[in-house]
Amino acid sequence: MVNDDAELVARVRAGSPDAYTDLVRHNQQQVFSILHRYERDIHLVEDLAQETFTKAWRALDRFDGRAPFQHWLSRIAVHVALDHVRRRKRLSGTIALPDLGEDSVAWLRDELPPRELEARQAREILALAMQSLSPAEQVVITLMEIEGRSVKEICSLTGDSSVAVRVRALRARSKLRKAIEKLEATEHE
Amino acid sequence: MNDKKLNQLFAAARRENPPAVPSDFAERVQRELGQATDNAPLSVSFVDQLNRNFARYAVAAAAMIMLCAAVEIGQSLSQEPSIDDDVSQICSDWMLH
Repeated sequence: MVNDDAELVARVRAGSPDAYTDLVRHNQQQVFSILHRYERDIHLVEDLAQETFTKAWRALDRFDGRAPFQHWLSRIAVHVALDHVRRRKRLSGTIALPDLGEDSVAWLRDELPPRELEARQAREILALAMQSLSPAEQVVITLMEIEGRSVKEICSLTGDSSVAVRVRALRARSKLRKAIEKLEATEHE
Repeated sequence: MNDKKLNQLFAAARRENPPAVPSDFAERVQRELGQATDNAPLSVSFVDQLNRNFARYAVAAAAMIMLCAAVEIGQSLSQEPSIDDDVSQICSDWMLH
């Protein structure tokens, strides 16, 4: 198996569709890592990953090789995630919030939580709180605070200006704080 | 709700591991692509090619127009018969014969 993405892309372009299987294998973990931040259902993550690779295949002739293939593919994955968040927001506008687990509720009740939250519980609370954010704000705050990417990287991945990214991140943090305060108040009742 | 609590949430979410990729995922993508495109990778339509090269065609056309205009101006300045005069001459010759 060839590990060099550039060489694999050249082979696909030369008419070897099998080389694309190697390209998928080489980059699939990275794509799953990006997409699972936006969707907790593993089957849906698989569907989104498949959509990402299908779009990459169709756009491969537009890949100019100036940036690494992984970066180009990440951009496609982020846009697939953004479309998914938009669809989900449209569909789930009127659905009631699911109940939080007992541990998550206990963590929310504590003014100064003494223990660390498990990743699963944090995701549960954030998933609820993020419903108050616009899809673009969800993507920006996820890239910045959960994936730990810089503003410059986020601009490159989303195609937004640095001002737009900073404004969205600020707004998202403020909305998240309010949403969590609301959850805390609900859980105290 | 303070910033510390929000940061704790982010830090905890950051620790979450991505799900394992199914072992046959790459093959499934390939099968899906095979069905969707009938194994015709990267076929580029005429319209796509036109779109991609539009700027080049536009520049070439503009250069051609400017060249013709320059020739025409040059000829008129040197009092030589222009392309228009030649065409008129050919037309009238053809009609008379």
